[in-house]
Amino acid sequence: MPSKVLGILGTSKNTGKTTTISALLEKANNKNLSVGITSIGYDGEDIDNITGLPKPRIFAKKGTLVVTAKNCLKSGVSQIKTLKETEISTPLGKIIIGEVMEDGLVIIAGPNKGEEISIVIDKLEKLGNKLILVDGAINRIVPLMNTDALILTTGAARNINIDFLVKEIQCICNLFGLPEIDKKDLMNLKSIYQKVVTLIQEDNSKRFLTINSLINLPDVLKLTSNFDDKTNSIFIPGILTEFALKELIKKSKGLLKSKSIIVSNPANLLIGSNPIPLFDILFEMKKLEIKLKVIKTLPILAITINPFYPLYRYGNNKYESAWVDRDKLYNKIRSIISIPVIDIVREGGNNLFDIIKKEFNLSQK
Amino acid sequence: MRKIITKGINILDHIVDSLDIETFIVCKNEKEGKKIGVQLMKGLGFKDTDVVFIEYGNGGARIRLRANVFKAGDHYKWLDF
Amino acid sequence: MQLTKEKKKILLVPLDPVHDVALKIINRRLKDRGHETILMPPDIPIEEVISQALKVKPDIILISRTLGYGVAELLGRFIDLAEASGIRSKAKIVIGGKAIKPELAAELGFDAGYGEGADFGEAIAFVEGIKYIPEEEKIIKKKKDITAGYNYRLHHQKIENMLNEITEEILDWCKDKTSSGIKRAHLREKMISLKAEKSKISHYDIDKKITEYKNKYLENCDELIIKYYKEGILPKKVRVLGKKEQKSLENYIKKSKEVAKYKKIQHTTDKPLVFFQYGTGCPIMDIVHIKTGESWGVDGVLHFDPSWGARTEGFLEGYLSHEEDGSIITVQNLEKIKESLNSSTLWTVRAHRGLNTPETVVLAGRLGADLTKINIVYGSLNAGTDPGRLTLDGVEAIKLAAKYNLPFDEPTNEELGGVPAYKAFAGMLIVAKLGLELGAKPILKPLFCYSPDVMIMGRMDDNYIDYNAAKIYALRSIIDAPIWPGEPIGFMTHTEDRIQSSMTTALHAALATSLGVDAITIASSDEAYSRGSISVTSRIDTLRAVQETFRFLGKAEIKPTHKAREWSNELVSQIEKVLENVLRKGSFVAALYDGILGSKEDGAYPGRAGKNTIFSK
Repeated sequence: MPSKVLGILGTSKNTGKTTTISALLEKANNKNLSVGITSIGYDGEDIDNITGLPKPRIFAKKGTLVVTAKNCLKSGVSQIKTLKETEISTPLGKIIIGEVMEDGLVIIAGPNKGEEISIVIDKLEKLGNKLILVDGAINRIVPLMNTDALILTTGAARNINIDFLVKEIQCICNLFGLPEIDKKDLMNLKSIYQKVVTLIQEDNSKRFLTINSLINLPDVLKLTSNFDDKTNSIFIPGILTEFALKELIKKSKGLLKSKSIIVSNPANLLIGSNPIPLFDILFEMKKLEIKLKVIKTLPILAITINPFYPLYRYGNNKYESAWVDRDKLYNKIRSIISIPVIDIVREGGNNLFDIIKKEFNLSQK
Repeated sequence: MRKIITKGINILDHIVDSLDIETFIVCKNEKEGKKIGVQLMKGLGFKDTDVVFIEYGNGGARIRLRANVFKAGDHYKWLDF
Repeated sequence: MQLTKEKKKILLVPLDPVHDVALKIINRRLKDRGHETILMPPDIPIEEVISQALKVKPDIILISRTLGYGVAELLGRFIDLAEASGIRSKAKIVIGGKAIKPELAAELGFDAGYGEGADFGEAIAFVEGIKYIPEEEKIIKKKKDITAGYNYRLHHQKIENMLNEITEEILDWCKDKTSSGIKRAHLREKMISLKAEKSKISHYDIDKKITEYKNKYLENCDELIIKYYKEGILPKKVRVLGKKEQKSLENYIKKSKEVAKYKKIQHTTDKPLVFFQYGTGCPIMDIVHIKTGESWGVDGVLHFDPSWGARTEGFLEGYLSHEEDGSIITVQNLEKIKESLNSSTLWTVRAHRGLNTPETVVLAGRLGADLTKINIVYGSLNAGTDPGRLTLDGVEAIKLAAKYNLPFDEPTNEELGGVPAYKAFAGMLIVAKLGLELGAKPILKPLFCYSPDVMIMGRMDDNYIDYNAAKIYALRSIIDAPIWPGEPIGFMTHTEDRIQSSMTTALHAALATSLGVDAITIASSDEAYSRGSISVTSRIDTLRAVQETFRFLGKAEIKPTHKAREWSNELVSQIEKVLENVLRKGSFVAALYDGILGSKEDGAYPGRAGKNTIFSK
């Protein structure tokens, strides 16, 4: 049976990714599930690289498969036996896959490119993992598109303004809830080898641009100069920024009504945008009946919220631990978002694990 | 000789040969400067000391005082560190 | 500037809102190496950077950004944009800036990260895909031959002719004579050779032979030495190093060699090599000084031995420590010191005065020294050895130096006693010519000093430059030979003021560099401190000062006034006259006794140690 891959996506540093993963690991180990962990970056240091405040590390039980980098093996606390050494390089050395020989804290490091993540996931699957956890890094999103489902972690470290957080979560959930294109369109797009911005006309003919992303005004103008009333849909394989999207809507003068804009995945739109204005644009697009679709998306299974944030003291140029009102934060978010909102610290990982188990249809060994 | 003990080890044992103190002492003349310098070293607990250099000017003296910790031929405690 | 073999296209992105000096420097260096670089203006939104990268299609993107709150997210976002737009798979992306560490680069998703401590060379090596070798590791110090490149040709015909005559007379004079010093030297050779033999002779026989030689050796030694071998009585202020101390020393040497990082003290010139003299009396302390010196860039060291040792016929043996200045010459002491030296450090064992000069050269040669020191004139006029004895021994010492391929330097320290430079130089040239005749390699050692003669004549009233330069010019106009001012440079200009002392050493080093001499011996900043021994820190003081001197001067020069040439010409004609006087005397040894190469008025006195100790073969 193929393994299931779960990505932990954070909106910034210190949102609780490590806490969430540790809680999940504990539950998975209790249920005797064969688990593997990787990261799309590096996690396991004692002290935050920027704020200098202590960070939790990941506790792994014996038998867990971990992905780490060669240089981390020397400083790791737990004993790890190298099973496979890959050719993937990182600033911390080559990526290796190892088995935890005794319970303890581990340092996880993984490849930072999406295609390399797939290679590592593949190897973990071949080594027998049923559940593979992919720890995010800081706010990175793109490599996590290679997973099967996501947990979104956010909190005061992203922004201490609760209204902002709510709006951002709404926007992200909206994006990840965008409809996937239907099979017919998929077949059509699959025949496009060039991976460039493509206009698909009514008669299925295709107009190719030379660029793969819409970032700024010149990009948009290149598109609109090729756009006419026979254009059915626009495919943007690379980045679509909020600015370009706004300009496109403005300059297309109503030609986009009932037409589709297709992006590869929600990440490609999220990374080039600020969530609050993007949310408004999405709303406007709905009003203008412009369809926004993705080739592939992932479900966000749950959201975990961390009331903690590092408070910068200008007086002594240091960071201090601080927290926002936890209850206010949770209640507000729960009142607006329909996806399960979990407080890992208070509830532990049980609920979260159950949600994942259900989605992934995980059974015991 | 003076000892500065931390965790059972005399820190001064780490000094290879000597400890120099360079400073500017307020004094009337060179002679007084030397006297004060020697008193300073004694006060800090050093016994085998010397005034290596002194130069008087503007109400004070530029001075370099040396406390000998290990001399050639001694049994050097740092040798086994 | 080397050009790279594989040209790359590099996009440089300063994300800080202010001008980025580091990135501009890297830009220049990459351009110099032949790469194509595009430097973006500062503080551009990351989406624009992506847009530019899509247009330009670089092989490498170098981002520079100071870390701060929110910056990590910005950089993480950048990598995401790079990946989504397809740039990530086509270009290597590097982050550099204050507080960046490899762990952070990994966390952010970059291919490499360089922080404040990183060398520009590291980033450039990464760009070119080659392994980075830090400057310090690149320095594989190799031993230099100071005499390399010199043909020893004499430019001055008249002087050459006179030197030929004088040396002929000296060699003739020595032909039928010998001394106990020479006898001991030969015995020593035999003893060392035997010990080194892994041969057909049994251990028992070797020991028997060695005892035989030893006894003959002792027959030629002074009471002081015999007492030690026969009764175990050590001279005053000498003690044996205990077994524990010896073991500790061995460990120390081992550890030192493991952690040692050898610095290159020169900047853009290969010359001069930098030497210092060691001789605390204790071999352990000496080794500490030597290893420390090596870490701070010293190229070579000279062994300073006690003067009473020179006045005594014969050497002691064992690991001996001396309570006063000067480390005793014994086979064991020298062996330990040799063991401690880094393979690139040059080592001089001096044989320039006293009753043991030929034997010293044997020890130097057999125990692995690189150089020795011989100057019959100085040794007999200012260091207390009888002229006749030292001439005889000195010639033998030179022969042995040639045999063991040890170049020897000739110090003109009689200048410090008051002998004018031209007389000292005449003597030095005679010994040099002797050396050449006997197949050895002499190194001239004029002093950069504030000598009595200079004080009297007012030659350094204005500056220390002209007269020292004049000396070098004068010698160069006479002979093509290596020149190594010492020991040390700036002699008599140092005081106990640490700054003044280091400065004068540094400035004399600048002059030496400017004049292109081959090596210099420098003082410690404790040079003028007479009430105690030299501290390790004081050695580092001057090594550091000299290093800064080299950095400051580079290949630039110091310009002496016209006086330098004037005095140089004067020196040459004065040297000529002295040599004429030596010839007129008809005997070199007699010339020494008579003060032609340095008189009582000058402050030179023929030595008495070893008087009447020559006998016919």
